[in-house]
Amino acid sequence: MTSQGMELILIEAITAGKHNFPLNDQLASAILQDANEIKLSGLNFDSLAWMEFCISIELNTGVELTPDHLEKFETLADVAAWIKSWPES
Amino acid sequence: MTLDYLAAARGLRTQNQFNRLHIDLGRIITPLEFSDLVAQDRDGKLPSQAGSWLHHLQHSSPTLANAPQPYVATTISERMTWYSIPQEKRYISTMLTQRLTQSDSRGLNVGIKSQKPVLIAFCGMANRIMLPLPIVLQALPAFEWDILKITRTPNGGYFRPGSETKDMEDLMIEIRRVLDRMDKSDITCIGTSGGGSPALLAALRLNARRCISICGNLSDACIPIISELSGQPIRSEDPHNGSSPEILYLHGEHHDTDRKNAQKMRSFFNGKIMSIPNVSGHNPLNTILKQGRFNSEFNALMHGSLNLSEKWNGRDA
Repeated sequence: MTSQGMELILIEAITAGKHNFPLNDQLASAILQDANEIKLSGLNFDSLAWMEFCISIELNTGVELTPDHLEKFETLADVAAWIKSWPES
Repeated sequence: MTLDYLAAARGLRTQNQFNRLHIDLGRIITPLEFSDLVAQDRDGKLPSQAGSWLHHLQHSSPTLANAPQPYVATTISERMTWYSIPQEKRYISTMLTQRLTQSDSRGLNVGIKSQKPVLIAFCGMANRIMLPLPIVLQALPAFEWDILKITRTPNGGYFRPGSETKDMEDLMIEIRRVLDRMDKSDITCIGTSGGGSPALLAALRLNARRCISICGNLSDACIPIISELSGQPIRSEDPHNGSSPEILYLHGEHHDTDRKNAQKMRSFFNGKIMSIPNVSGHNPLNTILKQGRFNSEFNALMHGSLNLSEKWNGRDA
């Protein structure tokens, strides 16, 4: 998976968390520039939004990521690392 | 009316797959269907993932499983669902109401109207009234309300950019048609988040008794359209000041965007703002639910006890 591909997956997951309301350009470009800088807490998601986020990740990558896993993560880069470390079937 | 959970869950394996199913069910099932699922779970017929979900909702709304409100859903269109009690029970309710109304005419002040009010609920972007539907319905006694739930368009908000006027007009015509068919004129509107603006428009257009916007927003593009469609010029320097509807804007105290949106809406439509202390998120109803106060007080709020400020720990802003 290319770096660009990963960022698009993250953008799509955040969009799903926002119930398909388009991301503002500032957040989208920030993700494209450096996911390390995006803190999960800064997304202001509620529990439903995090479920949608995880469902989107699984649908697009096959990687199982649940809201319980996210409790250990701080930034979007941690999510990306989890996805990259998932064994390919 | 039995919900075939097992068919819907067939082939599901991961937690996310079950979460998808439960989120979707949480948007549509009634308290009766929920209660039926709990019974199936008690009999060991459902997978463990279902049990966790059901227990979570039961914990939030303790009467949901054992004393479910007897709403039955009727699909009106893709975006509209009508919730009411079944016909035979409605007949009993009507008879009771008529008898009480007759008593009223003899001088007893029982305070019951001859027609049940309808609550028109405009969902937010998550297609919920901020909470799972069975929890919301359980807080609204079915003998007191009929409910028309309206969701956004499948691929966007309520109104398509560039087509807002037509979309709003079409939606209002469709709602009017439903209300006429159901012979309803006592109307309360509620809109959560992105449903706030359409709820306001509907309240003005349908001459509603009251409108409650919970963390609603009002885009600049919407203002001239609401003015045009409501037939009332809406200006911030001369806010709408009619006797109807009574309007309440509810928001969490520490959510700056929601507070500003409430102030902006009030600048155009007047009404009262209620700020819920110590709520920083966009979902004050969830906070009230966690505090165990939702079931007892949401209904009073919908009926117009807008002086709930003390109970809700709210204060006028």
